[in-house]
Amino acid sequence: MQFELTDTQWDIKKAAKEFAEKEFELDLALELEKEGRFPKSVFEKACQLGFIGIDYPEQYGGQSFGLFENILVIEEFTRKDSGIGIALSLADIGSSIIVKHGDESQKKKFLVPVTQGKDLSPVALIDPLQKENQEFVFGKSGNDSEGYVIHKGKSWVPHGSLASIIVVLDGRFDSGNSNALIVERDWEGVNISGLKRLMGMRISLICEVDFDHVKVPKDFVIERGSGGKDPLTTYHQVHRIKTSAQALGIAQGAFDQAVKHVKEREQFGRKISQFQGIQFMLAELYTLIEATRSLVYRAAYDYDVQSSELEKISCVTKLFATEAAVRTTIDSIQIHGGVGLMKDYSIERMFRDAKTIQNFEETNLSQKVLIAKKIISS
Amino acid sequence: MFISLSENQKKLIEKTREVAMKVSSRNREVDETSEFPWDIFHVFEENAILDLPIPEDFGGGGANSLTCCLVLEEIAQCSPAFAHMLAGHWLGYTPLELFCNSSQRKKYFPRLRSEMAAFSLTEPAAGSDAGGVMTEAKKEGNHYILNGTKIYCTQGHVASMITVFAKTNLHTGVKGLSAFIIEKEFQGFSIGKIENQMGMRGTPAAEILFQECPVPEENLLGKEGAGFNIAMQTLDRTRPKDAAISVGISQGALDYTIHHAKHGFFMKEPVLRAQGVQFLLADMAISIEAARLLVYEAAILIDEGRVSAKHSAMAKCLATDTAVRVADQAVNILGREGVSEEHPIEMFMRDAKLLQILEGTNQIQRLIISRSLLG
Repeated sequence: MQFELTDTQWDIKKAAKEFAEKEFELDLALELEKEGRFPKSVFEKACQLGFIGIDYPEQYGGQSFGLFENILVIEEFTRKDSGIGIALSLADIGSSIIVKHGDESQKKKFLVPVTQGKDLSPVALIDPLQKENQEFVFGKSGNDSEGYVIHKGKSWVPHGSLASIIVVLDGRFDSGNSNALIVERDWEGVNISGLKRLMGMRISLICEVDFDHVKVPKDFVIERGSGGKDPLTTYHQVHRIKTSAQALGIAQGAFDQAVKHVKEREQFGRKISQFQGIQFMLAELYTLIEATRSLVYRAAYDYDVQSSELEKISCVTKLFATEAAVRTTIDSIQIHGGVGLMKDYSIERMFRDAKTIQNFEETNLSQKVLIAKKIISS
Repeated sequence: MFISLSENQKKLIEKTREVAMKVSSRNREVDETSEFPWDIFHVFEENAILDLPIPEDFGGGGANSLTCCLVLEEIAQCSPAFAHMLAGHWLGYTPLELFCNSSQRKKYFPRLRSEMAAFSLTEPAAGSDAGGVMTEAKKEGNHYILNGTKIYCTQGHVASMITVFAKTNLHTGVKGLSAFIIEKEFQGFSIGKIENQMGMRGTPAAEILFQECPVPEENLLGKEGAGFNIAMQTLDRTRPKDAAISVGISQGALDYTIHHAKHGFFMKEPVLRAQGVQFLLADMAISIEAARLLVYEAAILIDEGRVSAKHSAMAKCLATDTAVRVADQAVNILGREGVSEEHPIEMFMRDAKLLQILEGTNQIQRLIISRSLLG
C-alpha cells in the first residue's frame, strides 16, 4: 500500500487549491448563500479547467482519472469555501452512476454536456424513510420495450431546478428496483417545487421534486446489468465518499482559519497561541483531521479498485469524517470567540454546512447500522 | 425534582409555560429577520416576567436567582432567544442591583420594569481580557467624558440604560476600570453595527460608540477603579442564568426529538424502537439532568449568600457544552429534518453555540475553575 500521492496527484491538488483561492471569494459566497444562487460562471470555469468530470473517461469529455483525483479536488474546494465547494461537488453526482452503469449512447449524451458546463446531473433518491414513498415506486410500463413508469415518489434534490435531467433512484431497502432512470425535467409528471430551507447547503439549491406517473422510455433506463453492482449501491458509495471529502476540506479549512487567528489575536499581553488550553485544542483537531484524511483517501482508493471492503469503509469514512468536520467547525468557532459567530465571516457557515451534509442523505445512525451488519455477518 | 418548590414558584412556572408556548409561534420569523421582537418584550412586561428580579419595594417580583433560572429554563425550552432577551435585561440589571446607591436605585429601578437594560464590557482588544479595555472616561468638572467603542453588547441597540465599563486610568490594566450607568439619550452616545449572528438572532449584539460623551458623576457605579470587581461579581451571579437557558435548550431538544421521532422510521423500524436511538436518548437525559442540578446548586449558593465563582463557572461550562452536544445528537436522530428550517432543532443548535462564548468563553470558565482548584 502506498501512502504518497503521485506527482500528478499533487499537481491536481495544487491546481484545485489555486483555482479555489482565486475564484471562491468570500463576498461572492456570502452573496450566493443569501440569495440562494448557484455559482454558474465559477462552475463553467471549473469545467473548462477539467475539474468537473476529472473522473470520466476521455472520450466523454473527462480526463480518465479516478474518484481519488476527484476527491482531491473536492477537498481543496471545500477547504476554501464550504458552500461553493459542496455545490460544485454535487453538480455532477448523477454522472458517477452513468459513468459506471450507463451504456455507450447514454454516456455520450449525458456526460459530455456536464463537462462543458452546459448542464448538471443531480440525483433524486426516492427516500425510503418518507411515509409518502412507502408505496410502489417504479414499475415496468405495459410493454417491456416501452421502459418504465415512476408511479409516485418525492425527493429533495440539490440543483434539482437547474439541470435538464435528473437521475432517479428508488432508495427503499430491498425494493428490487435496482435500475436507475434518467428523467428529463420538462417531462410530464415531473414537478419541481420551491427551495427547501436547510441550515446549510444553501448554495446547492435543494428543491423538492415530485414524480407523478412519469413515463421513462427504454433509452433512459440505466440497467443494473447481469451480476454486477447496482446503481443504488454505486450512488451510496460515491455519495458517502464525496461527502467525506467535503467534510475533510471543511475541517481543514476551519482548522486553517483557527491557526491563523490564534497567531494574530492577542489577549493578556500575548498571542493566544501561547495558551496551552488553545494548543491542546489545536493538537486534538490536527490529529482528528489527519486521521480523517487517511480514511477518506483510503475509501476513494477502495472505490477505484472496487475493493471488497468498499461498502464498509465508505460507511466508516462518512461517519468519521462528518463528525470530525462538525467538531472542528464548532471548536474553530470557539477559538475565534465572538467573531466566529458572525455571518460576515465564514466559520459559522462552515459549521452549518458540515452539520447539513452529515444529515442530508444517510444519517450517521444508518451508517452505524450498516457497519455493524457488515462486521457481524463476516 | 430534588428541591421542593414553593406554591408561588410552581404557579409562576405554570404561567411561564403558557406564555412561552404562546410566544414561540414567533420563533422563526424573529430568527429570519433578526429584528428585536418588541411584541414579545411587552408580553413579558405585561405578565410580570420582565421585572421578576427587581425588588418588590420598586414594584418588581423580588425573585431570587433560582426562580429566575427556573423561568429562563422554561422559556428556553420553547424559545431560546426570548429567554436570552430576559437574561440580557437581567444581566444589565445585576450590577445595578449590587452597586447602586439609594438615589441611583430610586432613579433607575422603576424604569427597569418597562425598559431594557444591558451590560457592556467587551471591546475589539478586550474579549477574554478585560484589562484590554481602551474606552476612556476622563473626569472634567462634575462629569466624566467617555470616548471609545464597545462591541458585542447584547441588545445594546434597544436598551435604555447600559452599564458600561471604561478606564478612568488608561495606564493600568483592570485596576483602571470603572463602571458607569449610561442612558441612551446621552449626547455623544450612539449605536454602531448591529451584528448578524448565527444564533440568538432576535436578540443580537450591537456595537456602541462614545464620542465626547459627558456622563454625570452621579452615574458612576460604586467607586472609581471598582469596575473589574463589579464586572466579576455580576458575572458570578449571571452565569447560572445562561446555564439555565442551556438546560432549557437541551430539554426542549430532547422533548421535541422524542415527540417527533414517534412517527418516524429508522431503517425499517420505528425510530424509538431502535436501541441505538434509545441509548442516545438515555445519554442525552443523563447529561441534561446533571447540568440542571449543577445550575440549581450554583443558583441556590447565590441565594444563600454563598456566591461561588467556581460553581457558577462549572454550571455555565457544563450546561452550555451539554446544550451544544444534545442539540447535535437531536439533529442526528432527526436526520434531514433535524437540519431543516421546518423544525426548530437546527435553530436550537445555533442558539446554543452562542452560549459557549458569551459572558466568558468556556475556556475562561475553565481558567476560573482551575484557579480555584489550585488556590
